[in-house]
Amino acid sequence: MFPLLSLITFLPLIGGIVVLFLPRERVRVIRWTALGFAWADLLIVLGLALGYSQAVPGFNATIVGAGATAAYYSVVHEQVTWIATQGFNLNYSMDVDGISLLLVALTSLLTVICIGASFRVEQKVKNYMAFMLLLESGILGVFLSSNLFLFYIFWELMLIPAYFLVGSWGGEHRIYAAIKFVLFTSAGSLLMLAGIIALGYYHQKLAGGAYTLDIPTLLNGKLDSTVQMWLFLAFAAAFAVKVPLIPFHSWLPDAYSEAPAPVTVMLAGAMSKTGAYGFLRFCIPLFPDAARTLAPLISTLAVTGILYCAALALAQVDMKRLLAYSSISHLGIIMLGIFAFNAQGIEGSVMQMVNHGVTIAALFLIVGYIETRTGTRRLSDFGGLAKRVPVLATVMFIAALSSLGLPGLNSFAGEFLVLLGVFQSSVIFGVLGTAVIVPAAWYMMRFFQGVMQGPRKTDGPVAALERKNILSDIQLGEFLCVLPLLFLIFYIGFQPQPLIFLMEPAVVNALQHFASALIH
Amino acid sequence: MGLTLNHFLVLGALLFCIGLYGALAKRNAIAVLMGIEIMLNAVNVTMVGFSFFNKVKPYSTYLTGQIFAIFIITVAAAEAAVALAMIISIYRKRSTVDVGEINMMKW
Amino acid sequence: MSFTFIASAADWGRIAPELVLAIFALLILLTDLLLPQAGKKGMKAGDGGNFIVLPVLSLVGLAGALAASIILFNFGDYLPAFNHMIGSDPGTLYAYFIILTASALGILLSPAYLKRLNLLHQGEYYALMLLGTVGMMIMVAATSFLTIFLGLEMLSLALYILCGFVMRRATSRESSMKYFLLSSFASAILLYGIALTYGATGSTSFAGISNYLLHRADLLHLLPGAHVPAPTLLLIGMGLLMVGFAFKVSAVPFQAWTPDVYDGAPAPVTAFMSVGTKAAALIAFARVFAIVFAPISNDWMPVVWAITVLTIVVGNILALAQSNVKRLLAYSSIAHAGYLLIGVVAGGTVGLSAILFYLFCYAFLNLGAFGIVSVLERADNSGSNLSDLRGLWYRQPLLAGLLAFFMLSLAGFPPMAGFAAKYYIFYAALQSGHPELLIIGVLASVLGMYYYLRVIAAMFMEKEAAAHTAGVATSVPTRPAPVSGRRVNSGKPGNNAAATAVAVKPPTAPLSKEKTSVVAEKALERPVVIKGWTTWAALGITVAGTLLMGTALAYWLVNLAVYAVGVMMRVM
Repeated sequence: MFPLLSLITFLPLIGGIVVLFLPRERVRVIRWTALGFAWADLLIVLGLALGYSQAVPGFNATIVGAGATAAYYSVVHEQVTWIATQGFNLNYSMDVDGISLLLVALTSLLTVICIGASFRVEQKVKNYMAFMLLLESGILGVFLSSNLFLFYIFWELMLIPAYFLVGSWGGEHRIYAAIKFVLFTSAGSLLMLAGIIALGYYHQKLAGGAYTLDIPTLLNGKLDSTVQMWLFLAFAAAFAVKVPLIPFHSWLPDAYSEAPAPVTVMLAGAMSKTGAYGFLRFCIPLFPDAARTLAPLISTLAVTGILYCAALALAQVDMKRLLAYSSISHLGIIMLGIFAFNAQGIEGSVMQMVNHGVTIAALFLIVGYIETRTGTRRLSDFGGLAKRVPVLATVMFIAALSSLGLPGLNSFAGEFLVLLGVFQSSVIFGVLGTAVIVPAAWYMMRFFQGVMQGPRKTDGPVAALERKNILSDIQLGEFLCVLPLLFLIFYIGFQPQPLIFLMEPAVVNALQHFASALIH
Repeated sequence: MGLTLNHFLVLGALLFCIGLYGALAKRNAIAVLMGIEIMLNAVNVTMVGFSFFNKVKPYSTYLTGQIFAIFIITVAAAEAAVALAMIISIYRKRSTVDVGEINMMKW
Repeated sequence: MSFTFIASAADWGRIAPELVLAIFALLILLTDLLLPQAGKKGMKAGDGGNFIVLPVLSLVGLAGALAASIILFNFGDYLPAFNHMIGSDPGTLYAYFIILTASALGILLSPAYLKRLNLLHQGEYYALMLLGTVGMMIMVAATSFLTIFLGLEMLSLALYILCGFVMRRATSRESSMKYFLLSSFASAILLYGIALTYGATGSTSFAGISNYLLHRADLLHLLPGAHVPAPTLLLIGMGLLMVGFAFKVSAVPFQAWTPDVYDGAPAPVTAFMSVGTKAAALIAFARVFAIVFAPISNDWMPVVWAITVLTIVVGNILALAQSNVKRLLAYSSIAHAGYLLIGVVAGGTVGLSAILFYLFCYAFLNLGAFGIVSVLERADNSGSNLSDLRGLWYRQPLLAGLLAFFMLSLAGFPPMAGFAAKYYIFYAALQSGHPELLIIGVLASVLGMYYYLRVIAAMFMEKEAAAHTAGVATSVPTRPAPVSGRRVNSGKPGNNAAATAVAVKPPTAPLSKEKTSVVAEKALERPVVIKGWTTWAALGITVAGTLLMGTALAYWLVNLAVYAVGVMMRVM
């Protein structure tokens, strides 16, 4: 069988290596090669999605018949035995289902956009592009691997390029931001490593046989609830930092605001989804009892994050930090939906992952454009820019509306589904989650109006630029980068059904497995 | 009463402690070296004593302790040679063999 | 009572690897005499100084020893030789592979370093490297305390001299002195422990001791299986042994010598001994405690557990404060010794095979990292400070990339070897019922992340100091390399008068006697470049090893280690 998933995962890595061997001076060649590899990957992913969507109904039937244990079904399944002795049995296995397919598509799309948006980078272009592609490889691997060992490898692999990208190409406080980012994430992921080692061990003790970390095998075991609790916490440590949930979030504003705009897009758009995906794909199915017991805790953290970070976003003076806090707030909604444990909640969450990826990417890109023009991100420096840059203002307006959940744009459908699900499981969380709409609208409008409308500034860097009349509107290349995102904002807003169609069987299976795996 | 094992052991322990004190408390590298040599000789005394009065008869290999002592003596000689060479070379450069003063590197 | 000693021809075959190396060490000394020398040794850098013949000869010797080990591994009878003095079991042979790897890589790193620092006593250098290797091999192979002692002293004597090999460098002399004093002190303590153990058990061979421990119930006419407390003498002996071994593996609280010795010694020697000595001492430690003293593990386990935890935590914490990569690596090697000790606590096949596998991986990682340090290091032992590394990426992308690679793998990032090693040793901890070690180890690794990544931050993220920025745009500063003859440094101030006039930067070294030579070195400092095909080969091998051991070879090597340890525990 053709290793399609491995190709998808490793193509960017190969691209990165190829880029590294190009001559340093040929900057244009390097850029276009990197973009070419990203495009190729995106096209393969789209092909896979097309094939998958054709296959879904048929598979759906067999899956329901196969029972709950086949939760981890796949269209394209890859498994190569890495090592098999009587003691150890580790496989290289990759799987895709509706949920991961959507996130894979999102990641590869964002990579294309980010590499396109990074054509401005002048310093160490070669390494920058290589790291960008490596980052894509890591994130794709996280979404596609179905063996915990492999998963962990990709999980850490995505950290290294992110560290370099933030630390070497970032702003003034980049080193502080990068080290903080890595320390937070690696503290979490090392705890997860302990959890992975222990999970394999306890599973081996329970089921006998070899030490294995294959998810389908692990899903069959029913660990006792104390063990589940500890392991859940160990795994949750890694995912909660990545999402981030509220007490573990302090790395995020620093990292997002110091990283160059395209890198921020990757971090916020694609990488933050790995945390939520981890909860959905690993924490809940592997430790269902613990998940149910701890759901109120996680939901509380999520709601606190939603409201607290929305309030913090209101108080920010830096545009990127504002978007960073809004991002935490939105991811809280996703977490809330996942821990509602019903179809609407989870479907809404997955959809919201895609939506948030699209919207926040557009917003960060636009902030990046503004920053390259004016050299500042302070909200108080701006005012009344719309006259000068009408197209940019329009694009920003659409993205801002999408972010605050206007009906007819993408986020509405997702948030609506999530809240529907949450209300079903807990009215209090539902009410609190819904309440965020007010501050969300407020800070987004403050953001947009503060920059684009209102009185023009008479002093400050932006005013100086305006006087010199060198403030240009969005350029063609920049616009082409945002265009796919705008298209998706409208398309998903009008037509969310294809997404749900793709993910529904996977969600149903996950829920079935969850229901059957609980110890009663 | 003749010599017993305890005599050897006490002598060995005393010598070892004297050597230990010398190695830890002396500042002069030569004195430290002498302390270490005394410790090694304490080991020799103990070894020979055990070898002679071995309590655990069925598993004793009668001569092991004494052979071991000979090995220790040989090795100690080699060590002393290397150490003295080293101390001389340091003395040539620094005109001191005070171990407290040889402290360029800290932490 | 009869005492029989039989040395058969087969016995000599069982120690063939050591024999080959020892013979080659002597050959090197002889060859050195025959090689042409331009000028008097140590006084003048001659053009005729030959930097190829001797390393090649020693590499041939190492290859021969490796071949002998492989043959023994596949076709040997695994029996101990010379009356239970020295073993030839697969566990031992596996350890030989580790030590030979470390030695070969250390020797590959040496020629360029020796040439750069103008060290001409090559015959002694390579012969001592090989003899040190033989000492380490004897120590890991030992199945008797006598052999352990011999191996230990052999490796120590060689390393005392090698540490002080850069005679004109004060730190090197100091390193050698400190190493000698503390190490022979530790040896004396170890020996006293051996003496007391011998007194308590009546034997110095491991077979005799474990026989005694297994049958002491019969000896005391008790019921078989009854709990017999270990005799006090044995307890004291074990305590002293533990202190001695802890010194040798540089476990906290006996680690104080490690950073100073590693820092002052020439970088290739540091590279070699940081892995070789550690492997030798740790495997001997594991063999004595986890195999021979296994029946009375209740008595020593708490102490070793405490040492392990202390070593992991304190080693990592102390490393946080370091601002010099060489010292940082020394502290990190303490922390790694802590991780390795987990294997001793875990014990059994899993624990011991975890130690072997970890050491094998560590050999590649650490030699790679120290290899880069050896390229960076200048004659006065500067060059590896974080401030020197600042912006290295902009000047020397390859060098910076390699160091970053090794730092990441030391920090335990997958898919490099460091990760696989840690994974397996943590698994061993869990399987032997020590989940607390797993958690402590994992949390301490977070500290490790910090200091390894700080090195990367210095190289990749901090821009250069203003004085150096001229060279940033173009890749390498194009200062002409000084003529090698002018780099002569005999330590006499007068010779360098011309050079000192150029230097305006005040020296940082506190010693007035050395001031001039330090200044001279700085004035003539040249851009750091990787030189010599041997260095390239060493770095290539370490990179390939680091990657392969973490991915493709990991499981094969683990299985091999499990098999080796299984046989080792049976044969003993």
